Amino acid sequence: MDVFAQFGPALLLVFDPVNFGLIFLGVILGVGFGVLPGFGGSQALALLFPFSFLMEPAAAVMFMLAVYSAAEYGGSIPAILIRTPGTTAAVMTILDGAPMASQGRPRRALTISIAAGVTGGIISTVIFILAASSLAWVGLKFGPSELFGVGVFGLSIVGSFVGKDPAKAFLGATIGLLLATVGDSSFGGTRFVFDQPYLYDGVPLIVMIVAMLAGPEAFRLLMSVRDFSDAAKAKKLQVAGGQDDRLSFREYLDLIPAMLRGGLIGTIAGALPGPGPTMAAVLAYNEEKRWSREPEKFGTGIDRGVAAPESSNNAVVAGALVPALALGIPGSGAIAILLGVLVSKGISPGPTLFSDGGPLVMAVFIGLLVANIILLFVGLFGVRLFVPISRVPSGFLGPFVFVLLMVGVYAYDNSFAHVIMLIVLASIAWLLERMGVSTLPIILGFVMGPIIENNLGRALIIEGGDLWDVVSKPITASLLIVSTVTAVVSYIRTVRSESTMSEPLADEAARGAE
Amino acid sequence: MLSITLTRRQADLVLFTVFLILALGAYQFTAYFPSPLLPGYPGSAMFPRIVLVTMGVIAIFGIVRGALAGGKRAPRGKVEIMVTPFVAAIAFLCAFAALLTLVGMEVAVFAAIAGALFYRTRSPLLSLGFGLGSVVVVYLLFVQALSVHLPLLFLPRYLLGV
Repeated sequence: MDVFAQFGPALLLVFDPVNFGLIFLGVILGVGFGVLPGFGGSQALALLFPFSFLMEPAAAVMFMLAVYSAAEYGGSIPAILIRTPGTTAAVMTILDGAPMASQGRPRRALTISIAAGVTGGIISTVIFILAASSLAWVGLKFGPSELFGVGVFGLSIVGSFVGKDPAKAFLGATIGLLLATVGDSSFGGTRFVFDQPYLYDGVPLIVMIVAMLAGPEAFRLLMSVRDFSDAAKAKKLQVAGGQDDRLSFREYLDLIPAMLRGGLIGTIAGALPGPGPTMAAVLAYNEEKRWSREPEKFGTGIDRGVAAPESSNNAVVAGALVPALALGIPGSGAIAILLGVLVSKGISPGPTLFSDGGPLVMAVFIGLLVANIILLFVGLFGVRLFVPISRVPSGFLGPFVFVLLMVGVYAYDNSFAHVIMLIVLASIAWLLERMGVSTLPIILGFVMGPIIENNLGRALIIEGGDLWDVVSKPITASLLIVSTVTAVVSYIRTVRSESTMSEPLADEAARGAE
Repeated sequence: MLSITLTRRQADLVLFTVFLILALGAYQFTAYFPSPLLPGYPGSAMFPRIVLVTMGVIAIFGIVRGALAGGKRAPRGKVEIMVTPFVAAIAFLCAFAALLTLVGMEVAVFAAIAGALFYRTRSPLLSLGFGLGSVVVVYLLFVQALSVHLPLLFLPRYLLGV
C-alpha cells in the first residue's frame, strides 16, 4: 500500500478539531516542561504518558510528538536567558545564545532559536514523508525470526551510547527484559507473580516509564529540600533589548543554509539509534564552525552559532521516528515512550506499520509538521509567558512533581498497587542511577522484551522448535553478528577512551559522572 | 545525616554481586514455571532463562573486571548515597499514598503540598495557598475533566449533577 495514498485521510485526522486542539495543547505543555531545568523531552513525555490513555491512537501519538518537539525547543529559553539549559541538547545553544542575551540582544537570540528549531523540524519531517513509502517494502521482507534479530540488534546498541560503562548499560537492558516477563505468559501460566493478584497483568508500561525516566529526577527534586539556587542565581531577565535585537526576514533568509545543514545533521543523527539531540547539536555546531569564514567569532554571540544547533536538535525528532516506526527500535527514552503509546493502543511498531497501519503513519508526520508551525507562533508570541517558569527553584518543584506522578499513575487503572509499584521502582531507579546504571536501557529492554520474546516464540513454532534454523536465516544471522560486533566494539572503545584519557581528565570525568 | 560512601570500584562490585545473586535466585525460580505444552513449543521459562543467563554473565564479567582492576586501572570517583533524605522521601511518598487511599484526595494532596512547602519555605501563607490551589487543580483536571475515580472525602464526584 502506498503511504501517499493515505495523505487525504491523514490530513482529515490531523485537522479534526479535537486532534488539532491536542497538538496545540501538546506544544504549550512541551515548551512549559522544556523550560524547566532538568526536564527534557523524556521526562515531559513520562509525566504526560497517563493522559495518552484517554486519547485515540493517532491523537495520542501526535500529542506526545508535539510535547517532545516543543520540549526540545523550550530547553533553549533558559539556556539563552539564564545560561541554564532546560534540556541537555540546549547546551550548545548557550555558547552563542547566552552572549547574545548578555549583549542586550535576547529577543534576537530567542527568535533565531525558534525560527531555526521550526525550520529544522520541518526539514526532517519533509525528508521523512518523502522517504516513508520506500520504507514500506521492509515490511514484506521481515518475518518473526528477522524481527527477533532486529530486537536483539536494537538492544545491542545501548552499550555504545548510554552512560560511560557498556557493561552497566547491558545490565540495565537485562533488568528491563526481566521485568517485561512478569505476569501472564503467552506461552502458558504466569511468571514471577509470587501469588500477588496485581502482578498477573505484569508491570504496567506507564508505571515503568514514569518510575524509570521521571522517578530519579523527581527523587532528586524531592530531596533538594533547601535548593533554591536556580532562583537565587537567575539574573533579572530582559526580553526586550536594543536596536539590533530584532531579526529581519532578510537576516532569517541568510541563516537558511546554516539551518539546512543543521536540519540534515539532526535528521541523520536522529535516524541512527544512539546519538540523540545532544550529539546532533554538538555535531551541527562544530560543522557550522568548520564551514564558517569567521570561525573565531563562534562563542561570542553570532547568529549561526544559535541557528545550527537549534535546527539540528529539533530535526532529531522526526529522524528518530525512522528506526522506531520502521523497525520498532527506540533510539532514545522519549521515542521508547512514543512506542509505548502505540503498544498500549494495540498497534505494533515495526515494518508492517507502514503497509498495514492505514493513515496513522502519514498522520503522525503531518501532525508533527503542524506542531512545528504552531510552535513557531507559540515561540514568537509566548516567550514572555514561559520565561518565569525557568526561575522556579528545584526545591519548590519536588512535591508537585511527585503528586502529579502518583495521581497520574493511580488514574491509569484506579489501582493503589500501581502507586506502590511506582514508589518501589522509582526508588530502585534512583539507587541504580547513583550506582552508575542509566535507567534508559531498562526502558528499552522493557519495551523490546515482548517484541523479542513473541517473535522468537513464533519463529521457533514455525521451525519446529529448532533454534539453529531460527538464527541461521541470512537476515537474522547477519543481524545477530552485527549485534555481537556492536556490543564488543562499544566495550573496547570505552576501555580505550578511558586508558587514553589523562589522569586529571579522567578524574574530572568521574566527578562529572556523579 | 546518615550517608554511605563507596569508591566506584566497591560500588561496582556491590552492584554486580547483587545482580548475580538475583539472577541465580530467579533462575532457580523458573523451574516452577509451566512446561511447554508440546515438544518444540517454547515454554514460558525459556525467555526468562535466556535473560537471566545473560544477566549472570554480565554480572560475573563486572565482578571479575572490578576484582582485577587495581591501582591506576581502578575506576575513579566515589558514590555517595544520602540515606536519610532518601528514606525520608520514600516515607513522604508512602504517607501520601496511604492518605490518598484512606482519607481521600483532598486531604492527601493538601497535606503533601502544604506540608512539604512549609518545611522548605517556612511560609504558612504560601504553603496554604499552593496546597489549596493544588487540590483545586487536581480535582478539576483529574476528577472532573478526565473522570478519574480518585478517592474523595467531601468534594462531589460530579459537578452540576451531571
